[in-house]
Amino acid sequence: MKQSWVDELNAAGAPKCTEVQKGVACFCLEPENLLPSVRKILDLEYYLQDVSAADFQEGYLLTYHFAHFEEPGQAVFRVLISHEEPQIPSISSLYQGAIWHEQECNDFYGIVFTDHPDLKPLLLVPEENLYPLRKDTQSQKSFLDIFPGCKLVEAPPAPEGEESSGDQETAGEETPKKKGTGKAKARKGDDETAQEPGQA
Amino acid sequence: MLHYAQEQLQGDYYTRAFQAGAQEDTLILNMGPQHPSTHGVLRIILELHGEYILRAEPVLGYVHRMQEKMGEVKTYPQYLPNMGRVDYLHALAWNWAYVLAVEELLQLEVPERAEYIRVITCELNRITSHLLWWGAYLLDLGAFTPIMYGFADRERAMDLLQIITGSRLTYCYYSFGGVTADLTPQFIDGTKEFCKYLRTRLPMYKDLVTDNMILRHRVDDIGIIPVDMARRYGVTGPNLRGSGVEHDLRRNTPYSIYDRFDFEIPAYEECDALARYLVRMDEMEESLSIIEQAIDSLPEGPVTPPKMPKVIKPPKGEAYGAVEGARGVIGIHVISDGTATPYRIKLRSPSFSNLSLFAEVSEGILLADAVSILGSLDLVIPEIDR
Amino acid sequence: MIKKTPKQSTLQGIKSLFVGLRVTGHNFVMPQITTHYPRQEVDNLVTYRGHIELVPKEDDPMTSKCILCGQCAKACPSNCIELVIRKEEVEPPPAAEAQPDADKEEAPPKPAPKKKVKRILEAFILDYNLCSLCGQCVQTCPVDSLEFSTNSYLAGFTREEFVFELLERMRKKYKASSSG
Repeated sequence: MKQSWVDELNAAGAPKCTEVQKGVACFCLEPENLLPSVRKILDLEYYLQDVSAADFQEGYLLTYHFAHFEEPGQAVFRVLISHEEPQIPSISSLYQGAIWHEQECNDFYGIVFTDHPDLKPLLLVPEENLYPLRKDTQSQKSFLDIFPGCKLVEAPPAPEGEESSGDQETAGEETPKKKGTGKAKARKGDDETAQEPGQA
Repeated sequence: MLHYAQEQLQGDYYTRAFQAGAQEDTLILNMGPQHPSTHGVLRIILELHGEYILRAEPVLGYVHRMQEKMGEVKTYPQYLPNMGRVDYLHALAWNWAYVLAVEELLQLEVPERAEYIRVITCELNRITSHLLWWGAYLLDLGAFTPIMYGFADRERAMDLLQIITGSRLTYCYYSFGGVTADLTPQFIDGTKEFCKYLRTRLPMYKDLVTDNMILRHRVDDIGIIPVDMARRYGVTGPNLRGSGVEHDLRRNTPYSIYDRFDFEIPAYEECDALARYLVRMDEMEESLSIIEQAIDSLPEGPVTPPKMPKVIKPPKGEAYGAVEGARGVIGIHVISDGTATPYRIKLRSPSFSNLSLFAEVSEGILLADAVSILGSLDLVIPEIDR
Repeated sequence: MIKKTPKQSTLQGIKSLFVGLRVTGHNFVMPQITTHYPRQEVDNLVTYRGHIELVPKEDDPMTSKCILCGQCAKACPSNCIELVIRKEEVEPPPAAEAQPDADKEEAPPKPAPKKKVKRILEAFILDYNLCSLCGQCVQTCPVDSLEFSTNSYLAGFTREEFVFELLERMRKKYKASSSG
């Protein structure tokens, strides 16, 4: 991914990504910033590869993979949403291909995509809510543990202040890790889990 | 009692939901799940006005096996055979995507010879996949004989793959860091011969089918997928190249050793079913050329890495293995938590995205053309449902 | 390289129909390429990898090479291998030889060459109903005691017929080959 594009995405609300490895750029977003960032990446002519979710201690991690027709590499958006309120805006108004991917996430995890045109079961039986990929508390792992590059930040609601505080913290604390997930933030509404970053 | 019968008549959950949005004086038709042109168990609910489709909605999940959950309960090597079952037509590409992701996690070097073997077998598998698509598509369009010719040639390629992989369809041939068996001289000679043979057959296909006037009428200007639509739906593979975009992971993000070979990325600008058809026909020739180049420069050496960990326990982290399958970009996203079982495996199947645009592309077209579009998308239903 | 699809005039279209007929006519007189099973059989089954079989020892065809490590059962994705092991008390070997191995006996599942309790393979059960022919067992076997059979024409009326006892099969096969 070109550096100018990374900058443009940062300006659109996707926090900085310090490292671009093998053309893969990773952004950790707040749910509020998802739609503006996705709009931006659509303007940059990226296509949607997939939308997937994973169950972690801190909440559900949604991963959006985008790739470009000419440029090599990928753009990865990560959004963390809480277990108690698994809600996220749907990107299907911009990328219609996401309609099925989001229905699938709803099937597997029960994540609600607001403004989705038709959030009915896609692959599983419509009569039951099975949510087969949800993990019980014992088998849940910490998101920070697996993605050490990402950080949990007590996010202040204003986007500008949030970005600057993120910069300071990275400059001070972040140690270089082998996985280049980049410096990024993940929102956490939940206090107890936010205080336990015992990753480093 | 009568009420109950009435409810039964109204169909299942999906039919009822679909019916709720229907206009007056239209016909709701269930195409599939057991329709010959859906190649498996795909069901499409159609709202018809005469012969014209007003609205279409694919209903998925008839062969859903929860492959992603299986990944979370099996160890890394135990999940290998699942890959052949996701897409039975291009099983080796799925094998490859998975081993690519795990090799990235393990930081495993693949020996040179194994890379060449992977290229040769994967391309051979791509040819078998395209040959089956070719036959089945024409069968959908009402031409019965081509599938016989396609199958006869495909059998030869499958015999070759059987020599080294031991199976004919659901291969489980690649292992982490290499391949499970080395090539035999029988395979190498047979493949050289097959390449020569198929080159004599492809002009026959062109004479018999591609140039045929009747086929042209069924595919020309049908199912227009503009680039913009392809982008919004995430269409990849030959379907995208039929829309005039030269996007091929083998060229764009060369994985393995594809950057060493000289090959074209066929693309046509018309965006219709004919363009997608021609892309696949040209791709077979390119695959043949890749195979010939790979066989000519096949190095000697081992096919498995010298030092393999006894138990596969990748370090914490994630990896995305993406390869170019016969239907588009196959992506496997593996999240590892440091144990012998994956924490999460996400399978990105190209047909899933390719089919998702059907509702939009089929608006206002003839029912007979919908069959043509479905065939031209080259769907493999187990891959969509996973 | 982005190409344009070649367009066709009506005349070319009509000509294409005759060209197609010529191809069909040519193939009509070609020899048949299909195999009429069961009267004929395909000849490339040597490379087919069917269900697994035990490999006998070279010097003793009645016992298998298996060292009872259980790696195959562990590797199997569908849990279709079961090893039935009988433990047998054997006379301890001469003291001089038994001493160095004394430490190893702490870990009983590891097959040590000399032990007070000898483990004998009673039966090697393969549930072929569950097998997906992936070959993981053959790859993990440290002593190459498993091989693929080329038996592709398996048929049966019940599920039980596909639960194989491989040790017995191996012995039967040897007996059949030595008597015949």
